[in-house]
Amino acid sequence: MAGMVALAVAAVLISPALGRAVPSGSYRPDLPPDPLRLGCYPLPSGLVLDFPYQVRTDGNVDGHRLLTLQWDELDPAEVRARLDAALARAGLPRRAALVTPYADDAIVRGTVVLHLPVARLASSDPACRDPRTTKRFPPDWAPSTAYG
Amino acid sequence: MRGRLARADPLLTVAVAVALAVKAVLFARIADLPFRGDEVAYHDAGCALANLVRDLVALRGPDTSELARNVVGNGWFMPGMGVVLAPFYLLAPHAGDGWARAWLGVVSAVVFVLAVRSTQRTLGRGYALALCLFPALVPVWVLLSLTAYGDLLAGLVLVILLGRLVETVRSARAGDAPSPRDGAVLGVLGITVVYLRSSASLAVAAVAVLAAVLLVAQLRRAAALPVLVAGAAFVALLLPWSISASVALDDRVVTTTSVPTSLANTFGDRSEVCFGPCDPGSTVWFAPVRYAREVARATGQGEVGVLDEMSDHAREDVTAHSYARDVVRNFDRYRRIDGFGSLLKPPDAPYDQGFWQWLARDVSLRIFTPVSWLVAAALLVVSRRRFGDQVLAVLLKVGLLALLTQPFAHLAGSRYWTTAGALGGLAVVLLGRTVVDAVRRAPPEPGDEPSRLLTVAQWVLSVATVTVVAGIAVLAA
Repeated sequence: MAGMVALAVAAVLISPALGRAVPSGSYRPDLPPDPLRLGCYPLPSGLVLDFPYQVRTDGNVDGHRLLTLQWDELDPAEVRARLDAALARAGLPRRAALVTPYADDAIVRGTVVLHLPVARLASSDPACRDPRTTKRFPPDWAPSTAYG
Repeated sequence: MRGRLARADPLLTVAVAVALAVKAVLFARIADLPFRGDEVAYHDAGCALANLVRDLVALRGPDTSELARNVVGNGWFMPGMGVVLAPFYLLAPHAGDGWARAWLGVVSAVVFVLAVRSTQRTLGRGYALALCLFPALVPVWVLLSLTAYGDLLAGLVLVILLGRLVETVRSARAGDAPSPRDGAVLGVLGITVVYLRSSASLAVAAVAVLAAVLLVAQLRRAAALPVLVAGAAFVALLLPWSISASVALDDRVVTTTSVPTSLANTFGDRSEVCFGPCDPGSTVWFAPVRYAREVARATGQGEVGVLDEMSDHAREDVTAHSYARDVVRNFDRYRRIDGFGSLLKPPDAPYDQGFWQWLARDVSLRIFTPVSWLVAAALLVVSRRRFGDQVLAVLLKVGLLALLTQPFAHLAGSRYWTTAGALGGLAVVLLGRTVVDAVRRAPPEPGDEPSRLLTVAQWVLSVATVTVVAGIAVLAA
């Protein structure tokens, strides 16, 4: 027993000289940057979203940019009011934002679909080329619903 | 150790040697298999914990971000297997996965031998022999003993805990109170099971509470100190994890954070987990965490709380029928224990062909299926002729039933049986003894007279089991 303890102590003492083990870190998904704050595909000038949101999808459809977000915590009326003010500042019509609240009263309260002019990539940040950040997903990415 | 075992019982030594020989043969087949799936997470935890020791010895500050990312991660896995792997990566920081598998094989062999020896001492030779046959000779169990998954080790440690609890309760009837040291050992064994596989928490809690009640019923105040010491040891060793995980994730974590997501994926609408579809191109486990982190950033809430709300949302349309149907599917998945037989398959070989696939899949199922029916029978029969058997029966049934709640809460996989499987061999021996006693009607030895309370408790467990099974079957229809 004493021999084993001595062996363990010796192993611990020499361990710093053997180099560091290298974990992969791959089991913790990275938090992607907020694409709007990063300015990958900027919003029209003046359109500032001053409520908690997360971008869900982004892309161009029929010559328009379709940006889908979810908003959190606020009542639909409050979000509608803030959106209306932001759209007015940007010179966009009220109908450019479609607000759909969820039925349950959870932290995520509903969806906002914004119909905007097409935007071009305006940042050289490498994250802006990652669909996980931009939410512009390639059509061949499978839904994350299969059990594996 | 082997020498002492040989003097004690040649048959048991042979049984252990056969089990270990099978392990050595199967190791040769998978020695070059890289870690995959959740094994990677356990590897990472082992590396980071080894680096922590290195840093402390070199009087450097620990790399807290490495620890948070690799030991706590998403808070899914308690670091029991990380602790098992840490000594290996302390001495061999750059070793390949094959060597790590060899280390895991040695650790699981040592724990297996300890479990057999402990069972021989606490429950008797028959039970120890049973452990050497089932699960130790099921090829796929042996394969899993060479992986970094903690389910199997958790089962073996649970067997040790169960045997010691039975021994303690039996001694209590003779008036022998356990010492505080006994209590501490039981607490350490309990928390070890939980660290190795947090889903076994319910089983540990169930057998521990039941044993504590039986001890208090027999010893009154003399049971208080050892029970309190056991609880204190358990909590004291749980706290380092709970505190570190809570700090790293900035939310309250006790054991694991995976329950809400697993409930959502198992019973809810997977296309609603992220209040709609999660981002594509990932898995049902990672995509929700990434989304929860985004919501947490937007709102300032903790990601664990967000995951709870996501789960509630995804499960809004769950009905009794859909839940029962999913439980039945889960049990089907749970029984398909041959899934990991593919470990023996060379990457380019057909999935179910060749001798090794036959051994790993067909042979495993041929052993498992009849044994699982015997275990089911053991859960239903009532031992009522000997107190010693009754104590084991009640604790074993409660432990098994608690482990079998897993398909009620989590997508079942083909390795989950290995935790309950360790108790399976014991249950078959218990069934045999109960049936033989019922036929022979031999009078119990003095001091081993049966307890009416334990008979009633078993009836309650049997009726509850039948009711739940029938209820799920009716609801799922």
